Amino acid sequence: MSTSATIAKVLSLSLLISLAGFMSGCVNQSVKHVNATRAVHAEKEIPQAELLDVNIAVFDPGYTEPVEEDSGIFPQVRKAESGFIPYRLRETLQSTGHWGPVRVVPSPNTSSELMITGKIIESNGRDLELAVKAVDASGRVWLDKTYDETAASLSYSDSDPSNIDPFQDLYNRIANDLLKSRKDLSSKQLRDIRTVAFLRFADDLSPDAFERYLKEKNGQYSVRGLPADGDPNVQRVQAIRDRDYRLVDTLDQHYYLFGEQIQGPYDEWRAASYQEAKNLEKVRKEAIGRMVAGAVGVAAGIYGAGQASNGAEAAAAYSGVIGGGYLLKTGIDKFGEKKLHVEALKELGESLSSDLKPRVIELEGKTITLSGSAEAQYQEWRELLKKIYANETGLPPKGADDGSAADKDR
Amino acid sequence: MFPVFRSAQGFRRWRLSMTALLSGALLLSACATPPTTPPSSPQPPPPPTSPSQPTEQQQSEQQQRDEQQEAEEKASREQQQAEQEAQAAAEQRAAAEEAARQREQARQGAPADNEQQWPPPPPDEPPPSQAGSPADAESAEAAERAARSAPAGGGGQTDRERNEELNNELSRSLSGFDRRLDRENQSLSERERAQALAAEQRRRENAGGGGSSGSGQGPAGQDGDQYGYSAPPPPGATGGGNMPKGGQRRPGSPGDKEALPPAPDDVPSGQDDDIVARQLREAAENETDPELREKLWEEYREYKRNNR
Repeated sequence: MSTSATIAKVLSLSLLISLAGFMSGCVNQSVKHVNATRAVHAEKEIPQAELLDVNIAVFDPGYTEPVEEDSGIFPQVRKAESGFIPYRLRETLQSTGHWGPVRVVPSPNTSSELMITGKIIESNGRDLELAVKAVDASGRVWLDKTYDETAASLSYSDSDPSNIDPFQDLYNRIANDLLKSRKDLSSKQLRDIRTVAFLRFADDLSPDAFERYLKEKNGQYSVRGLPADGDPNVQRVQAIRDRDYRLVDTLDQHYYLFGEQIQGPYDEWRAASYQEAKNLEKVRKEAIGRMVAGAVGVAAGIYGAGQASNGAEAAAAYSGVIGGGYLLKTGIDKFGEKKLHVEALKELGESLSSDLKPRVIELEGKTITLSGSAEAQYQEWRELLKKIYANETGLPPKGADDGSAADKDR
Repeated sequence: MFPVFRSAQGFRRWRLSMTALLSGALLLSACATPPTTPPSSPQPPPPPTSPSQPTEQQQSEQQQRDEQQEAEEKASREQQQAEQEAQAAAEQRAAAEEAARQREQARQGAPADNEQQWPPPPPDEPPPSQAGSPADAESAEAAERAARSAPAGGGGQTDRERNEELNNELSRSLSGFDRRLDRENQSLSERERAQALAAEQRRRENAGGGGSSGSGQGPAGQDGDQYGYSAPPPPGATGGGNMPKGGQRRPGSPGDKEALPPAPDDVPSGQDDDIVARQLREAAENETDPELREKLWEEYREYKRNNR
């Protein structure tokens, strides 16, 4: 073999090893704009009768017990997020001026004018993915889709004084989609939703008196007729509904205070978690790149050594093997580094979990107790309305065979 | 022995007593179903038959006996009258109850009748008991009249009374729920205030260490807010830029726990503190400004009082 051929071989081997080395250091860089999507705000006053009340149920935390250790899910953190994310969405929707009162409630309520439910698919400070569904009182689905967002590093920067949530874009997109659905409805449709919501509430409390006014087909509700003016049943149900509004306000206040309370520690966790998740991703990519490049270098070196016809070629091949081996080793070392970041993330999650646990328990305790006692209260009102209706009309209440007729004569 | 009367008045009194006694006896015998006999009054003592003049003591005793007898007879008459009235009222109540039962039976009727009445008419239509057959209507009206005349609290309530009672019950229940929510909201307001104070406290602490953000120069015009009411800005906070990051207390500043006064004596121990009370207590313990510190302790005391 000529000298020139030898030089060419050595050069190509070196180039291959260099390329492998370059590949190992290659990391994707993406540019993320903060608050790129703005929520559309109302420009003119919306008639009161068309302002829909919005209830947002606490989200499904998106995990099932027992949680796998390496899943990166911390139940207490997820539970806190299942109340915190609706709280952030509430703030966003309320700020747009397109809606009536927006409230966070413990569970979905069929008589809400617009009910939003959701599930957390992923949340780790860097990525947030949510499945969101909105259904109005008449059963019309406004939206049912998945939203995801990756936080920008600037969002967690101390130099950013705006205090904008790192995932505000996501909330803004949900708000804008809801607005789009709302704009597709006529004024009459919006008013009908409000009427149906009242009638469904009334029907739930006093089916004897209100069932006839509603029509239901395949989960879609419409107004069949309206009670007479001055109907005392309507006045009674309205009095109870006023209490229901107060109850919802009170429950919402619990979530509001909870959101305010955990904002600080949760933000700190998200910032630290974001950095760790980012480092972890970087390390993972580097480790894979180095290991691939090392393997290629070693293989090329071994092949070159086998083909070497002189000392120089053999030396180049051996250096390829050594270089590849080194890259392989650093790749393996990087995997060790990756473990450190995983551990760091775990520690962060556990630390926040222990911080949030008493607050989550307190929130759950308060809202469950309040909702539970309210439900017992509603049951009492249902019975009373049933008796009043039976007494006024002289008709036996529905379900009289189950002993409620006996109650009437009590 | 016959009584000897000193005067005509005494004789007339004796004669009246005897007449009343006889009338009472006749009345008792005339009653077919006599009510419970009142405790029988003792028979008047036989009139003295001695023709001899009674002594003054005897006369006085006689007079007392006459008066006692008269009072007892009066009481007996009143009791009889009251019992007769009670019996009449009981009969009336029984009649009202019977009428109400009849009305209820007429209303419920046979299953076939129920089917005819279903679906229910709108609430503004008259109730079916008024729209039934004439016989039913008559029966119901009679029952209504009887029930109306029955005393309140009896077994036979009118529809209106029952409706009123149920509506009152609903109103009471709603008021009770209102009170419950009022209490809940009051507790939430206190909690909100506590959180706001704690947040303000944290903000101050962070602002105190806020020279860390890079330039080391505090935002213009915010110095007063940054360092509390009267606490002087810590050295370096306005220019050094070497303070620890937000959230950490300034070393050597009045914010250090060792340099702070202990909790006032009248402050309850924090052993049973809930999360809000703990926050308030921590905020008060770490507050450097005496005025704000006292306000925080007051908030803590109030919260503990209200949540005892």
